[in-house]
Amino acid sequence: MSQKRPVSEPSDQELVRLAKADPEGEASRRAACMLLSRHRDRVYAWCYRRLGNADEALDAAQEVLLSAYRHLSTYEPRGEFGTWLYTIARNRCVSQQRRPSLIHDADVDPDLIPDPANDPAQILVDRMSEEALLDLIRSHLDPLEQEALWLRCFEQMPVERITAVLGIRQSSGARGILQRARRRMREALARTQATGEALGDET
Amino acid sequence: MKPSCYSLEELVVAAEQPRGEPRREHLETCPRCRAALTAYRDFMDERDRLPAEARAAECSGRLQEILEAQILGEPVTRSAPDARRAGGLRAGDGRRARQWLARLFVQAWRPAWIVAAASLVLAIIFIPRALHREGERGPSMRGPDMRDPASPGQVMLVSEARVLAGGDLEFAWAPTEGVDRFDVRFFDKGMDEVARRDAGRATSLRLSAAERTEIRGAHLWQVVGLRGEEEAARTPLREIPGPGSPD
Repeated sequence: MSQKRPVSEPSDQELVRLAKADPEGEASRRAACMLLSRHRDRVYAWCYRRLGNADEALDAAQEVLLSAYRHLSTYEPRGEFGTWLYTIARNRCVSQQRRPSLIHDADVDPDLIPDPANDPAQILVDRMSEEALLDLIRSHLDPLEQEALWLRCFEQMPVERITAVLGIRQSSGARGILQRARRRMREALARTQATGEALGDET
Repeated sequence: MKPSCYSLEELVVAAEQPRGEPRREHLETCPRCRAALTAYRDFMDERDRLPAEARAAECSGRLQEILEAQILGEPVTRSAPDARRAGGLRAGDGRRARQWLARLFVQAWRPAWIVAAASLVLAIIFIPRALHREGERGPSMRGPDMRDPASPGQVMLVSEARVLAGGDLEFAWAPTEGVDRFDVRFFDKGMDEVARRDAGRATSLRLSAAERTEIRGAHLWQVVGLRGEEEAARTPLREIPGPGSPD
């Protein structure tokens, strides 16, 4: 065995600076390659968890990493490089997934899905602004239910992943939390409808 | 985003603030900001392993090849199963190629296609004749002969690493014409070379479980074929399989 070089690990921000210094130069391209190589497994793992299919995840991860490379010149290091890369990955994956509703979610309640088009609760939700929904969630759900529901509906996180990231230990995992949260939301919406509150309805 | 909500960069900072600090206070009471930060932390978290069907090591290797090809201009190669799965192209290229072909066959492009087809027929007829005459005059190509299988930068097509029973690691690659000896090089995740082994003329290298400590910290491997002291060929970078994945 020979040539054991000292392993020096430049930070992400140092690599960004190098990569932006002379984008066409050899050193800058190597820095960009090293930077994105460092994050490639994380991007792939995240895409896989979102999409649940290796080929789709590879496709998405490739697009995310190459998009980051193409737009590296526009990146302004205001925080961790990961936040910027994550935003690209999120936009890429979220756009190709079906967004679960606050009221109906086939992954959580496969047997309790009425026709959303005729469901008064769903119609009310569709007419409410995101801010009004946020207020409703805040005032009717406990913090764990709030976060689980928001992760599911707006971050489009898979139910199993919500169980893991929120450290939910009960046997039904996030599924039970989400079922309870949705039940409370339906009750709250029914009360809202009955009392005729506007709740941010702009129509 | 609500006016009072923070950007992801600010949320990362907010989480580090002491209780009572306004940004931290907001984070604790806003489900949207909490969910955004939780989702980001999930992205950054590498503790949870993916299931076998995610083919994590293989996809990681493919992504590395793609990054090198796109950023450093180094050629992409893949094993036969990869090529079949990806339709002989990079992941995603199949869809893009179909869209591109669909655009090419629209009515407006038909005259161009006719001209191209006619040019191709003429080229098939005349180029072999021209090359034959060129051969009679003797070689006159300048620069490296791209038909030489050991031209600098050539990529050896087959390379694989596997864990054998007993924990030994075996690296194997294709024999390559015009190469005097092979170096097996090991790199960490930051692409720093951490070790190198001279394999001589052999086309495989075996490391015992004990010898694996010598490449501790290495994440990727590559074989470089040398002619004299000059690099004549090399394999793409590939991931070193973990100790728990015997074939």
